[in-house]
Amino acid sequence: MIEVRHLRKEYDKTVALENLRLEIPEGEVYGLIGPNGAGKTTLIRILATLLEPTYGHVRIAGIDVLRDPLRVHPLLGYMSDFFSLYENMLVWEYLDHFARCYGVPRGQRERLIEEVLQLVSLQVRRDAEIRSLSRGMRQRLCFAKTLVHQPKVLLLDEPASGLDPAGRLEFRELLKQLHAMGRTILISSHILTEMADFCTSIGIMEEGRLLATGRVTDILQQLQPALRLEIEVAVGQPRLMEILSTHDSVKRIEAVNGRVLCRWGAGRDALPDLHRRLVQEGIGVISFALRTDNLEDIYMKVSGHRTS
Amino acid sequence: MHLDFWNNPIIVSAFRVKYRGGGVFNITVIYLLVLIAGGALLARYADPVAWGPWPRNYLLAVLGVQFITSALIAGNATTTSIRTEVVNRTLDFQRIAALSPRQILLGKLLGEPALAYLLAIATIPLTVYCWTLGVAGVSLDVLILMYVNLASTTFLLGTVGLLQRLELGSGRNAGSIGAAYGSALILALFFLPPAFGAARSLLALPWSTAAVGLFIPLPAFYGIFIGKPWAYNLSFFGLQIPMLIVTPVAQFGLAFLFFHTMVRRLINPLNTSLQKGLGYGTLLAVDIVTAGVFLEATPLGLAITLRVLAFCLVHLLASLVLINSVTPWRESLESWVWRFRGRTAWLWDAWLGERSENFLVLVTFCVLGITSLGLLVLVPAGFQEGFREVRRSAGSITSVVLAMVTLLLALGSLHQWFLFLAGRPGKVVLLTFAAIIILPLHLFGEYYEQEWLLALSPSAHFAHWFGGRPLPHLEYMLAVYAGLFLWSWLSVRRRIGRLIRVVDEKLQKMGVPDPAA
Repeated sequence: MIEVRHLRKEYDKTVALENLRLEIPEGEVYGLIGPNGAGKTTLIRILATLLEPTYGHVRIAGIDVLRDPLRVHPLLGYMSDFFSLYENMLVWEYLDHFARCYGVPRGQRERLIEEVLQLVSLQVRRDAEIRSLSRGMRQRLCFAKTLVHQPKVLLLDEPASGLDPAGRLEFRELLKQLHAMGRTILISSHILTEMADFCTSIGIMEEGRLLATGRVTDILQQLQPALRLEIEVAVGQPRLMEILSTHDSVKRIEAVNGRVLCRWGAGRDALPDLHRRLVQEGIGVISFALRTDNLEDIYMKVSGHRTS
Repeated sequence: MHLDFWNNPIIVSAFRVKYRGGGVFNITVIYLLVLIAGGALLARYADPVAWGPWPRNYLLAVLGVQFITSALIAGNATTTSIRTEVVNRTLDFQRIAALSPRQILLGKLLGEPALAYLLAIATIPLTVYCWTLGVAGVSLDVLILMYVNLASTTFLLGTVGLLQRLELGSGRNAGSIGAAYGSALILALFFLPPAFGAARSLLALPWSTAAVGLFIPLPAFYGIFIGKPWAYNLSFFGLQIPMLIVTPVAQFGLAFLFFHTMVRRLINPLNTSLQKGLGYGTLLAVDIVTAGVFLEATPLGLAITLRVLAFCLVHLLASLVLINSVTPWRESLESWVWRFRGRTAWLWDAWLGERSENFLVLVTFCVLGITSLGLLVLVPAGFQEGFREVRRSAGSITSVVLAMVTLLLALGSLHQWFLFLAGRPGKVVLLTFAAIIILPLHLFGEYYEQEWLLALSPSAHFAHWFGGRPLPHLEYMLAVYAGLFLWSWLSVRRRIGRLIRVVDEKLQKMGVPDPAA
């Protein structure tokens, strides 16, 4: 659905995007992760046809974004981290305005407006002036505007920034619904734990480069060839350490707060044998678990331990 | 272009918001009442012997106030609207909607200044009342044409207001724009009456009538004042076209250029204001109008040399304005090097291509100037006064043409060089540079009566040519400006060459097989 090749953006002598290559299939929820200044917003603005790249090819649904932007516009829903609304309009007028801007036929406009208002839980504020809305409501209204023409591709630049925890939860559910409806979503965010919950793929950006891209599970496997094993025992920790240190598939053993952590290189299938052996050796195993890296861990690894 | 005004979402929303609570309607009613009260005061206190008939005075007063009010409201409303949207980034949402840039701007132009149009409509009963009472020379068609003039002036100011940069942090904020328009309104109210007083002398000559009447409807107003609305015409190759008709046509033409410039900015902020092709067309139109106006001036004493001089000066000035509109600045040229070069044949690209350097534009402007001069000024002059007369002036004509060509090439090439070096601010640097190398030489040369100083200044040469006392040593100026042209052109070429090499290296590193593909 989204195809980017050789994408480069320079601002004077600063390179914001460096030879970026990216492909996002239809129906994916793609999370862009990276620190401030990594080039996430620049990439999203180029995809939204708001910014011209220095060089590169960008296609959305097979249409060249640089040569034929007007054909791409109806396919896109764009929401930026910083946005303003028309303060003197009513909520429904605002949505009606954008429905008209996207050429939604008169017969469908009212129905679509009601639908998106329901989706973002703003039906009760339908006739309110925008200036009277809270920040969270404004953000939801802006999101409703992004959806009012039923775009195939959503470009969301830090859409949840500034929302309270409940709002973020709602927003996450909303994205899951949209994903289920088959929309392709490109979302950038700093809140990595939340991204892990709904992103099917991620891209880690830093200094204009895409350091890693792909499905979350694939990247995990790439970055974590060895599994992380965590064993908690009631008795027999010295014996446990002895067994592990003599085992060929175990590396980097450390004991932390009564638990033993290590890297297991023999794959998941060999784990039951290890568990059985520990029990046979009389070690009181309380828990025996695999730990997988989360998105924050991945990001920290890929970006060289810099903080977002 | 969709001209379906009532389904344009920007117009619909503007009217919805502005009509809510009857705000605009209330203002219109109050405005109408104030105008009626003004009319009553004029009837009560203005002496008909000294001031002339009330219907004429009131008609002029209502139309005059309406012109200023509508034009300023339109300019202010469009400027503030666009600027606010740029600063709040709401324009981004419009730009990526399914609306074309033309629809967005038409919406802004017709929706935002709704008040200007409503106030104009509100005056119709008053002006029709004056007309029914009888105003010398004012027939129904004159009245209608005055409203067409009002619409074109409002439209023109509205499009001027649309001209905004789209980059954040550039330009003025909406508040300062509103203050600027407010000040302009106050200044207009102070200075328009004296300007109206000077109208008689201003409109005495065909070329000065054209210079004023192509931009503002002063000839139409003054015509009504003297009881002859059709008195002022544009002399165009001997044809007399009433200013009542010419002014709106010229204003709509200018408005189109401003509108088109902003359309191009909305499409892509890196685009130059005008395409090169439109630049050539506009210059040709200016040349034709200039030649047409100056041809008629001959019976009033404009000799062939002066006609050539005036034509060349207008051509030079118009070229410089258009060069400013078609010359790419640093970022545009860089994007040409990265993405646009090589798409079409070199010559075609340099002549008409988007964002390529301006050298071939300068050459085309020179060729256009010389051709238009020959065909539109010298040939008609030959038929009018005899070709022997034209040949007799060949020496002076050659000097003027040489000066025009050299200055056009030099200033145009410097323009490109400064914009390449400094980006958009290069325009200010160029203006300062040009003022420094032209004006002090002229002023000091005149003050100390130093011919060699004057000989270096283009403005001194033109001033002395117009005064009928050509300065010696034109070759000094030609040599200096030819040198400036060569230096700046070579510098631009060298810098572009270097940029192309750097970009090619980067593209190779990026693994791009063919940059033009």
